[in-house]
Amino acid sequence: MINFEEFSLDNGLKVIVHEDHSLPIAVLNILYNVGSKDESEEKTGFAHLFEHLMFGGSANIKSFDEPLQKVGGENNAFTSPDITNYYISIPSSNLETAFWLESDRMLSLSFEEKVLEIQRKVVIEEFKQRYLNQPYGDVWLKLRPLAYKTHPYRWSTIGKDISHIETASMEDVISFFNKFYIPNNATMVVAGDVNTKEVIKLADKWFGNIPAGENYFRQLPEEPVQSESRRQVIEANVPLDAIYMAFHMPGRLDIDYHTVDLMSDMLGRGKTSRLYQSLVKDKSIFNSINAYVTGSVDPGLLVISGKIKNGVSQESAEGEINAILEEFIENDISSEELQKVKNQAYTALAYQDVELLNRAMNLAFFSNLGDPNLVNEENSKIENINIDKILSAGSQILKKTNGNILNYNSIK
Amino acid sequence: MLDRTTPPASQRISSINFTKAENIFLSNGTPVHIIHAGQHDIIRLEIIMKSGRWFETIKGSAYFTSQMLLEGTSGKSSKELADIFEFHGAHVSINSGIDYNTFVIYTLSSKLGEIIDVVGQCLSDPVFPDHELKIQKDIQKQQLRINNEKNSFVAGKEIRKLLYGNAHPYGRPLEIEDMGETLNAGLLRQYYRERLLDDVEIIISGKVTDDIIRNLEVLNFLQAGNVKILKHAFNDSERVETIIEKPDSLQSSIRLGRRIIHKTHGDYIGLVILNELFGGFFGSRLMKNIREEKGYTYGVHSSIFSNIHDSFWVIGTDVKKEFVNDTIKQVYFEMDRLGSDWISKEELELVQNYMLGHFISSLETSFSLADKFKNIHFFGQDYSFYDQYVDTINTITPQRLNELANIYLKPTAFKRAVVG
Repeated sequence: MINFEEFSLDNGLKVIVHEDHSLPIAVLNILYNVGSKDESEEKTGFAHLFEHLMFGGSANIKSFDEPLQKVGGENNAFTSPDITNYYISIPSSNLETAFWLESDRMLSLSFEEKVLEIQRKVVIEEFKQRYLNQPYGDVWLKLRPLAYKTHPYRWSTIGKDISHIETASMEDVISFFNKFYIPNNATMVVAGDVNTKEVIKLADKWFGNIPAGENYFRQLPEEPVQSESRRQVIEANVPLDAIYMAFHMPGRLDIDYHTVDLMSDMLGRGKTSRLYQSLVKDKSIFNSINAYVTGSVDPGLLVISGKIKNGVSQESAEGEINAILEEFIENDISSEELQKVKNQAYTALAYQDVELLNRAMNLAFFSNLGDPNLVNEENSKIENINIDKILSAGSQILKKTNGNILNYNSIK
Repeated sequence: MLDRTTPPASQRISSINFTKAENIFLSNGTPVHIIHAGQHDIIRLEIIMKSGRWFETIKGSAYFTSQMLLEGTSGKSSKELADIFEFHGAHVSINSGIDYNTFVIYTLSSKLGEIIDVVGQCLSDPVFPDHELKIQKDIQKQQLRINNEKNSFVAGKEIRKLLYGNAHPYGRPLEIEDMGETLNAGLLRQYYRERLLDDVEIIISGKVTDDIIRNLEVLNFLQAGNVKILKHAFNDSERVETIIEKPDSLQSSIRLGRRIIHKTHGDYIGLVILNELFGGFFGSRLMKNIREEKGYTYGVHSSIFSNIHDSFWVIGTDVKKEFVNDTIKQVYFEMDRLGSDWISKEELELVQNYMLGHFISSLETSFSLADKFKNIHFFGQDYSFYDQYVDTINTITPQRLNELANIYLKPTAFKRAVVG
């Protein structure tokens, strides 16, 4: 149970306070309600490039990192298809420095050409390091456009193509800032060794006079229901053939989300999961295999991914997976198997709450989705899942017409 | 009107208190170190076996002997063991390292009693089934083939070979050809009998109740202190550089490295501060120069790795191929600069405060507190190390950092591996 209080400023900034005085540290987490799904198709990778620019100096402060480090703080950020999230961890006695820094960059950036020029290069090297110069690193660059035809989840946060980053202009940067980096499009969580009254005061002092912007109403095209199975075959310089299967599934807040999540655990989480036990251990067809869900806010994907052993063909590997999926849908599930994945989920949830930063991020994430207290409802949602729900979700989701298959072939 | 140009008042961190390990013994004398901290109903149990790669005579025996503990006992198959752990939501793994192998269990506190007997069986009664060993070897071989395609992985291997030589346990990597027929169940049984559990200690962290401590008594067949010290001479190889060209690569992975003083050496903490300043954090000299000014890379890092018998220092980065030479030049330039000019008071203050803040953050969870304990205990140090650590951070001077740079941070002392 994560305790918290919430309030809003007049400019629309949502603030959540979570007190935990076990150590003299504090976290200030700001989530901006913008992800790569809010980009236009011609300018992908922009939300993430922008995240880099947020460290290049703001209206009144030349550098973001140095004044923070000088008072013992550290920070980082990440961009996902759904959100952009910034966090600071700092000794609680110096909390106000975090307010000063974060509020100034919400007020305005310095928009220096030189910063843009350098960060374009850095992001291009990141693109290469993480996606292009790694074995199987480009899987999501291929899998997204295969599975999504309409919804902007069809491109990755790093972007569709390096050229989009190369051509990003200062004009783009400024209009992106004005549209999304406004108090009424953000959620702030202040957590740790902090006092709610003090946070109210500081929030008002540093964020209170930042003008609200025009409310952002997200209108994204819905992904149409897939009606026939899709396949793409690619070749690359990798040691093992691999197969990826992606099935459309409900989004994070859907009533069936956790059911599908547990179903993916039964299929491919851990050594006793069906896919691993059968295909890695019993039959030695795969070198590794697992199943997981993307957990995105809009309808996401259940993904099965496996590296195929040398000498086994793509066709037979795929046939073996299909046989297991069919068996899953057609036969009953034991209550032990259900209890196992529930117990695994409870441990994972408990583990996730151990770190203060995780608690802060989760509060921000769920607040942005409408209610921070959703963070405390995960356990009971999992408790309520029964075998019928899993079987019914299985027959809807694991059918071939809902599947997208990427055969990733080794040319070695 | 709010003044946004002046930073708010701040305080320097002066004293740091944190939970320390409490030491008890099982009825047979096996040491148990308890870190009792945290509000959450989750604990980590670590069984530290001082029988890592350092002690093996045949490559791969330490790794596979320890990994195979989970692959079958005389009463339970690999699948049955996994069923019990996973049914109770416990996450069990084995880290096989250079100095130690560690059996690690994350579990809800309430479930430890359900699985502890099975943990005991894995340790006391493993049977090393042939077919499970074959599966594990196959998985490892294929995983290694994938890793060998990663420039950063290969560069890391090559720099350790340059520093320690291919025959030394700190230098030699486990390769595909090492996982052949020699590495059989008989050999692993022998390693298990003669070495694996010679010297074991237990660490438990989280909300540790009396019940949990009573549960641990199941492990009272384990013993500490019987380790036969094995010596390996450290001979620097004469080679200073390895270059592996990969025409298809978009980036090259660079590693510059040298062996460095042991963790218990009097200069060590000063060196950790020098490393931080040089390339240890986002505001470091290297990061500013190579990423933030030149945009050559997504990241550049400098780290000191301390093992029980030796330490080494590595600078690593992935850059666009055409910038390899200039990147290395810039790293040397930054080394020389620390050796010639004293750093400014402002920069020193920034690093001091950053390191103190980072130190406090690293004390946040019971698990990180257990890591803090391991980092002293197994080096024969006590908690006064952290008092010295904080004290040295608070009192180090620009002059001292300059001296340390002149002793330890000379470009000529660093060997190079470039892959890509």
